[in-house]
Parts: sequence; C-alpha cells; structure tokens
Amino acid sequence: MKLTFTKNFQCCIIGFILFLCSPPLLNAQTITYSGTNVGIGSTSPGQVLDVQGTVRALGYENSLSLVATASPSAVSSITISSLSPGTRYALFYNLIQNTSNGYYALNFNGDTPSTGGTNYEWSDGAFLISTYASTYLNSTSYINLAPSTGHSVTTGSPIKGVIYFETWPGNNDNIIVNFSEGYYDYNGGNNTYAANVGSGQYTGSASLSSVTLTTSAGTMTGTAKLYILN
Amino acid sequence: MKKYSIFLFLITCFLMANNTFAQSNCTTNDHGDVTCQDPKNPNVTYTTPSVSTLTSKAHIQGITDQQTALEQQQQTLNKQALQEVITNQIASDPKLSTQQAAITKSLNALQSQTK
Repeated sequence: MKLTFTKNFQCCIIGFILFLCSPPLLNAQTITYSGTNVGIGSTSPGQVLDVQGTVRALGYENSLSLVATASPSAVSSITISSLSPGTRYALFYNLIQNTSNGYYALNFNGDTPSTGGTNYEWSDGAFLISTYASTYLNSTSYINLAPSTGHSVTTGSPIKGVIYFETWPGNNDNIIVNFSEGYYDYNGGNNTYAANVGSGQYTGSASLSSVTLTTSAGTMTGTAKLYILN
Repeated sequence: MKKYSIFLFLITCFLMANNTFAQSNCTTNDHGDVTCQDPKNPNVTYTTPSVSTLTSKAHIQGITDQQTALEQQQQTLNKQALQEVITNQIASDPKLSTQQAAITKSLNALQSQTK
C-alpha cells in the first residue's frame, strides 16, 4: 500500500514539527541590551537592570522581604506564626483604634497575659505636648507599646509604628525588641499626640515561633506587614 | 425540574464545603473570643473579642483612664498648693518680701536692657 500526500499537507506537517521544536520567542521590544545594561520594558536602560514595571520575587538579598500581610478588621489581636530564630524581623503597623481607648501590647510564642507568663521586661518614653512620660517594668506578661498602663490610644485615632525584633545571638529562646511609633494618647482626656520609643526583651523557654500584637480594649482595623531584614 | 434539582444540589454542596472550611479555621475560647486564620495568609490569625470581653476590657480601660486623669489633676493641685504656700511664706516674712521686690526690680532692669 502506498501513501501519497499532497504538497500542502507535507508543508503543514513540517510547519507543525518546526513549531514544536522551536524555542519560545522573546519579544525584542521588551528586553533591551545597552552595553552592560539590561532593560525590561525600557528601550534605554540607565542601570545594570532597568525595569519599567513591577518586579515580583520571593526575596532579595540585602533588603526587605515580605513575610506576611495582615489586614485586621475590628479584631483585638493579630498573630503571625511560622517565625524563625536567628532572623531579623520588622513589623510595620498602621492601625485605627476602635470602640474604646486601648494600649497596644506585644507578645511572643503565645505567651500572653492569659497564660500568666512573666517573661517580659521593657522600658519606653513618650513625648507628648508639653509633657513627658516614661515607664520601666520587668516580670510582666507583655511589652507595652505605650509609656505606661495609664496611657492609651484614643478611640477612633491612628497608631502607626515599627517594631524590630530578633533572637539574642546564640540563644533561640530570648528575643530583643526595639520600637518607635506615633499615636494620639488619651492622656487623661487631653488627647495629645505622642511620639513613643522603647525597647524590651522576652526571655522565654522555647524558640521564637510567633508574634502577637494586641489592643488592651476595643478593636483594631488597618494593616500590619512583617518583613525579614536580609 | 430535574435541572433545577441538580442546581440546588450543587449550591448546597458549595455552601456546605464553604461552611466546613470556615469552621475548621476558627476556634473559640472559654470567653467566646473567636480566633480565625486569614484565608489568604495561612501564618496570620486574628482574634475577635466576644461582647463580654469587649465590654469588660473597655470597662477596665475606662477605670485606668479615669485614674490617669485623676493623677494628673492631683499633680496640678499639688503644684497650685505649693505655689500658694510659697506666696504666703514670702508675704509673711518682711525680709523675703524685700528680697523678692529687689529681684523683681533687677529682672525688670535686665529686660529693659535687652530690649
């Protein structure tokens, strides 16, 4: 039996094979080489890598890498887990205090006032309008992000800041914390803006695994983003 | 009718699956506070306080705020009382009154010089 193909059919077969074997084509208009520079979406790259658009990656060396984004809406606490000792973290938060006045507390590894832990020690100070307030406490069940238990974030007002934390060198259970923030302090009804800075430490008995940000009363709404500082 | 039944069945399955998903990612403690996992970020959880927790915490915070306000008022009153004591002491002692008058005179002279 002899099979015969028309020329058109042969061309079609060859074209199909070429299509399967050919490498994916790059769009020459979107990637440009200029000397040692490479442009993506840029026809005249001005840097080694010039990207005219959004870059998406799992991480970058010597910079910030996003670990988690929390978007709390009328909740009393946020917990971010799957953390690792020996890693330097930065938690940026931008929140509104709802329902009632409340101060913000920081906890690690689920070691909160409800578990009765006394593994926290902290010191901070706030500049308020025409006054200053500071507090030092040890053997407490949280790190307070306000100058003392007498100061709180006014209902309906914002609190914005950053908390840096990481484990001690060679000790996975102990965590050192630094923070700075701005917020409207209820301040006995005076409602004054406060710039607060402080530091604290957690001396637990387990490796760093999670961080929790809580408001003492009412709820919080806004965003909190946790980054790794590479 | 048959198509309608199949459609209803599928909707029921979808709702049940979603409900199961929601329940499996939330826990409730003894106080009624609900902790749920963020569906988009598995390592993020939120705790929503129950009404009783919200009320009791707001009550405690209110007492704390009142205490702060009273402490501040007390400090102001202490300052005022101290100033009154000093003023009375100066007024009752002729020597101090003379010294105060001399100091005030010197201060006025210095202020006029700086102008």
